[in-house]
Amino acid sequence: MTMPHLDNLQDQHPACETLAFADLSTRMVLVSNTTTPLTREGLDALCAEAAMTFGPDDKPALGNTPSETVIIATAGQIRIYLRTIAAPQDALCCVCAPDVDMAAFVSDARACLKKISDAG
Amino acid sequence: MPDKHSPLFAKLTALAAENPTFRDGARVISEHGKPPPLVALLAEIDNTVLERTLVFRVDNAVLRVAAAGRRLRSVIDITGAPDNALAGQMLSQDNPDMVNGISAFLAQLCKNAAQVTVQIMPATPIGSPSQAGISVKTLEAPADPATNALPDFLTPVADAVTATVQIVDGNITATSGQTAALEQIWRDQFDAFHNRQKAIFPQPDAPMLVCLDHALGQDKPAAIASIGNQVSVFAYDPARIGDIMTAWHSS
Repeated sequence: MTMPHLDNLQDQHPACETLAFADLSTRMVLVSNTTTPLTREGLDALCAEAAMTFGPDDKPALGNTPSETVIIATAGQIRIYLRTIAAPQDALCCVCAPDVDMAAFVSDARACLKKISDAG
Repeated sequence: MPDKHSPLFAKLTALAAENPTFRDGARVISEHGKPPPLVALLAEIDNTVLERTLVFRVDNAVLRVAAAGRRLRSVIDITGAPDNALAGQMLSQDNPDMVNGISAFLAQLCKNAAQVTVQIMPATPIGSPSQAGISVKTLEAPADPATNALPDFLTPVADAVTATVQIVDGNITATSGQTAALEQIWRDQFDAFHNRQKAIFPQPDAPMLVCLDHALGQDKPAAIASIGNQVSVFAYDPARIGDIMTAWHSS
């Protein structure tokens, strides 16, 4: 039931090309959206970056408080990672084009993550 | 004989030498960088003693400002350019954030402008006369080094940044605001993060911006921008993350 949630989110935000639901504790992507252009290695890299950037709960990689949203922007791409403090092992890894509507996307992606986490 | 070194003599000489060009009823004050657009714009404010509304057209952007007593009292409104949170507010020289924000905004607006024109209109009632505004001298050289601590891409959204640490070649070169926690990120965490990140996505020296929503506490975000030999660690208003991303990808 996870994939339809991801596909729906991508339908709402065409600027987002990849969505992957991952378990940060095992650093494993569990499911991705249907049309992602990324290979398994690419998805694993996303998951690794998410786990590394959030860091352990008691020791954030950056800053002094665990974050729930990390945005990494390069020249032509935005990678967005979301999790909740309530279920910190569940993460949504997203790859978007620069023209994504950031506020709307993060809000919808967070709702999507909640639906997936609650269903699990 | 007038004193040839007096400001009045210089001004009268400049006025006598002027042969203004007009476009659509507005006086051209800068064309193709001559004089520099920001210098020309500030000179018009500096020349405004009585309360007036100055309407500047900077290429396709239109900026209406209230000026009096050689000071910028308020940016009334902006069209054709990204809005600025300071628009509509009375400006105060005593507020460093305001000074830095408006200085950075004007610098960005004028950057690379091909043409600047001005129309001088009757004053728009705004604020009280006791709210004196910001002098041109202060706008030219902000009191707080915050602007210098900002990387170029953040200049259009300077008002969204609350504190900054600027690092060049591994050395802190400028700071603004409350920077203890930001300096700690730079000193204790950045290298390890950077090395691990490069191991996952090997793109040596590629510009990168990392934003974390609670890095400095609940709803207190921080970000790190890495551009060549420069690193900026900064705190920002979480509501402005979209503007910061737009600025990043526009730079």
